[in-house]
Amino acid sequence: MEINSKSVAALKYAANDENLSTQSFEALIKLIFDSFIVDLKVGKLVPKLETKNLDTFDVPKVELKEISASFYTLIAEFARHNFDTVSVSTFLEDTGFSNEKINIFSQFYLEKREIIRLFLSSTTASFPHVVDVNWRLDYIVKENNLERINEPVYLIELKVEKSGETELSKVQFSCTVEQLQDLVFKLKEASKSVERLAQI
Amino acid sequence: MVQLHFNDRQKETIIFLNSFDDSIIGEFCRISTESIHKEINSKTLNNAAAKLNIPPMQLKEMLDLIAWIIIEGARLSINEKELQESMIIVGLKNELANVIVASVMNNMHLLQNYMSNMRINTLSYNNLEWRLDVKLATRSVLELLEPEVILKFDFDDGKNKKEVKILQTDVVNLNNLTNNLEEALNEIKSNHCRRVFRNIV
Repeated sequence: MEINSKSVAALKYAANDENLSTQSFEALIKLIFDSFIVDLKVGKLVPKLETKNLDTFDVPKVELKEISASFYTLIAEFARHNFDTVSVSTFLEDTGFSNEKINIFSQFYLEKREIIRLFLSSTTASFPHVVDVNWRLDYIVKENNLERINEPVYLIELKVEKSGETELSKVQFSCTVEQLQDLVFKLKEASKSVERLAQI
Repeated sequence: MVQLHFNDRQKETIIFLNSFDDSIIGEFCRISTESIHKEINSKTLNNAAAKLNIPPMQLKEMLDLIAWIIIEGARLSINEKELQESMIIVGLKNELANVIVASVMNNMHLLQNYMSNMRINTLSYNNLEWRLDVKLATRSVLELLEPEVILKFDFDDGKNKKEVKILQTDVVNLNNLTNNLEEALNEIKSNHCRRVFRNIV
């Protein structure tokens, strides 16, 4: 795991109890971890750090910004490698943090690790992701060029999430009864093989 | 009860058809079907009109009428009885009506094929291929174990243009998708749908 030297320096600064007291440390860490919240409207993570809360610390502004940035870097790296508390503690110890601070950090980290990993994985490249489906069954009676058609037809709409876009896009298509039967059969095959995979 | 509705001019032309015998009407039908694909040569038209001793314009009107009957018949998917009746009602002789009905029925399928190419075409489903993957790692997150299903849809937009869409989904969404579409499929067998299909003819 690699952290750039600037961040390491800032972390060492934060480790020093004279620069950042344990209470201030706890408050700052809590702020940082709590910033990984879920935006309920879109169901996405929206990391927000309320900067006005940073004014309450007795640390000079520049150092405070550097410390916060280095903590974010550290947390991202820990989550990326899926570190457990032992590895986290070891690293923090090597950087010079007191046991108290280590315990506080580990507690928050354990709580938030999965959410942070979720957030990190939302930045990967992927195909558009199907999240919902709408369907409609119509009966074609006639058209201007052909009467007496009398055919049922399905209109299927897949709601799709594209990475980097907040709005959902749609994939629309029509199909006959036979085509839908084919589609459902294949989807069931896929579901069954996923189930079998889960049982291995 | 489907019927062909002739306007007054067409009714006059029908009466005029009566002055020919069925073999000539048969010839008219043959020429009319060809005229649907390719316009009639005016020289041939004039020659034929001279042989029958009628003005060329009148011959053209009769041929156009028969062509109209063939196209309308295909559009309405008219059956033999309905077609026969429609023509007899406006005064066409029985034997001549038979000849025309035979011609319409012969060409109906082909014409309906042509007409179905003019239908409104939405993107329609052709085929689905799927693949099950397990995501192990990405640049931002290591040590993952996430199952993922890749779906490759083949679509056809009716004008011989194929479209391929590659989508992905996860286990939960795949199950949701499958269940919803299965429900859609079962709707066709419901009482409501059965009643509608039976009663709209």
